[in-house]
Amino acid sequence: MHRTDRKRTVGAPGASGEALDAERLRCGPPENGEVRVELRGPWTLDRPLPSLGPVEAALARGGVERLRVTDGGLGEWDSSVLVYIEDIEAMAAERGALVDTGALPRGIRTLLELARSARGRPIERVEQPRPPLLVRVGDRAVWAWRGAVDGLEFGGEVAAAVWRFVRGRARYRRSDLLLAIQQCGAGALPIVSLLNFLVGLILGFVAATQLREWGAEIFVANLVGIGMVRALAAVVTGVTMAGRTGASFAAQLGTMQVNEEIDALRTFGIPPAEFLVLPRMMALGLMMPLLALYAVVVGLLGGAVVGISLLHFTLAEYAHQTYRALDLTDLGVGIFSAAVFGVLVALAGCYKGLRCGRSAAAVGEATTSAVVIGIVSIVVAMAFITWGCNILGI
Amino acid sequence: MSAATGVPVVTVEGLTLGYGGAPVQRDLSFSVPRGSVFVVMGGSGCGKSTLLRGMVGLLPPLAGRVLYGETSFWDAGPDGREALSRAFGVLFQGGALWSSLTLAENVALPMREYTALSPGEVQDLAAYKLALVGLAGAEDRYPAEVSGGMRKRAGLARAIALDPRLVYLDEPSAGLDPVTARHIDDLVLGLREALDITFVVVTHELASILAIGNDGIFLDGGTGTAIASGSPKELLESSRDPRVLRFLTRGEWRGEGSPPKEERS
Repeated sequence: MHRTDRKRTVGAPGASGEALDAERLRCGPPENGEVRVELRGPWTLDRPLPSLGPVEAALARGGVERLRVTDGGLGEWDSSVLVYIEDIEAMAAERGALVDTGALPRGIRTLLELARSARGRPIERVEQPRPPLLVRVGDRAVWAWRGAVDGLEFGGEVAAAVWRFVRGRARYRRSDLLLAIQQCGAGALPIVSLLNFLVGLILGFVAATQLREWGAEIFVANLVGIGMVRALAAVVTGVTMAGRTGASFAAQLGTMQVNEEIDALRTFGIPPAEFLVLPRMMALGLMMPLLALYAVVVGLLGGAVVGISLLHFTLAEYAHQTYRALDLTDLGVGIFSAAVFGVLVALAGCYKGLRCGRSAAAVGEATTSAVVIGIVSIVVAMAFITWGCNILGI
Repeated sequence: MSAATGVPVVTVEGLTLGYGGAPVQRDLSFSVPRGSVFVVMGGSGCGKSTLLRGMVGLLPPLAGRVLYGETSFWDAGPDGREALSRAFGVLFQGGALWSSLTLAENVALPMREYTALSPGEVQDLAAYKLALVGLAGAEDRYPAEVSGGMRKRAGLARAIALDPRLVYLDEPSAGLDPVTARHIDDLVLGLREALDITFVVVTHELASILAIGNDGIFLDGGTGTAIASGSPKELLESSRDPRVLRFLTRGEWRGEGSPPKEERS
């Protein structure tokens, strides 16, 4: 097979290179239309291959009908010698000369023959022409429609699972529920603490620098308190859980999909929405409000650190001002938001996991997608909740 | 060994299966006699596993029916399909054991879901099924802690957990050493003999096909159809189709006439 894509350099290799080449390659003068090419010494991948220059020079003299490649004291060899011989063959074919490798060791001849026969059976690659714009738009629309139907189907399956749970007939393992509660509850406390403390701290600091100019430093407590309780604690915790637990759900279920574990559940008539999604959704739906409550406390502490250290309030003054600024409605909105975010993050993770393809790359894509969908749905849900609160006047 | 009775356990009528509307196999029609080891043969990528997915309810057909007795699987409602699913067990290619459960819990789960047995009885039965496939003592191990062969045997124990009359096996001996593969084959024959289980085996392992199959079909990926049916040994003896003969002689048959003698055992 003629190959030009990785042809070896044929130019002069330099004095020292020529000497090394000569140790491994001897190319005799043409005799009766035949050139004898002797391979000598070691031919291994840890050595640069000799230049093809001598062979090309011999061929360029003209009148060469045959190149006889022989064993002139060939030492250790590997696939490098095969590639070199194939390049000689390609070069000879360009000039209409034949290459005789019959005098080479049997192993080399066998491998050359194997490679030739494999190249004789090229893998068919059907080139698909790029469809016209209208077709592409149509395909995209069909794809989006199918995605929407699939999402609705998943929503229906989960709703049916919840209904069976309400009637006490859902099939799931309580140990799975407890494990999920532990993983997305207590297990998340360190990261939730760190992020919400820092958010409270940053919020307090930004508010302090602005409000100090107006002599309204005491309202730092109001801003941090309302911000954290009503929205930020839930949002920050939700985003954290999307990255931590939502991704974990997608990876777990995606791996189960790859291993056909979900198929096995289906063949036993056990709906994955009950057995796998329900415990995870309940765990995150239950734990998120508690985590958000905890996050509120930690976030307020962050704000208090700024109030005490930067604005020189006492802890009692800061706490009293926070208490005055808040009411139970704010806390209710925050807790409700957190529960909604928990369910959304769990659904996003489980949906992408259950719809995962059957490869390691697909699990990665499902995980990434679960995080993105989780975060986007949190922001969208927050917007709707805020809008709803505005309409209700709370 | 009890002979197949001829009464079909499952019948496939004009089944066309595929993905995204593109057929992989078209218009398949055959029936699996009770008591047989029915082998679905064919080269890699010809649609064997797709057929299995269509028969066990994991892939809705593009056309045609799968009948269990008189009931069409895909025309039954969700509850009907769930009830039919309990009539057969499936061993997936990699075992598909639930990784968060021990081997005993894997076998016990279907029994917990579908029987009125007490937890103790379920535990005893799970241990018994595991012992049946040679895994006594491995009840408390997790799938990640056992070898590929043990995972497949545990998968087989789970497939027979509800004492089905029909068990599907997807590539039961793929990726196993010859001794373990032989053990799985012996297990299939033993279970068929002892429990009167009908097996549908999807495989391209020639040794297994010839050792355990007494009926089957041959799928061709090129045409997307079944090109031969019957016992593998009969096909080896009497088929005139070069695709079938090449497959059954590991590519050694290259022309007209009988297949090579050494393959005709």
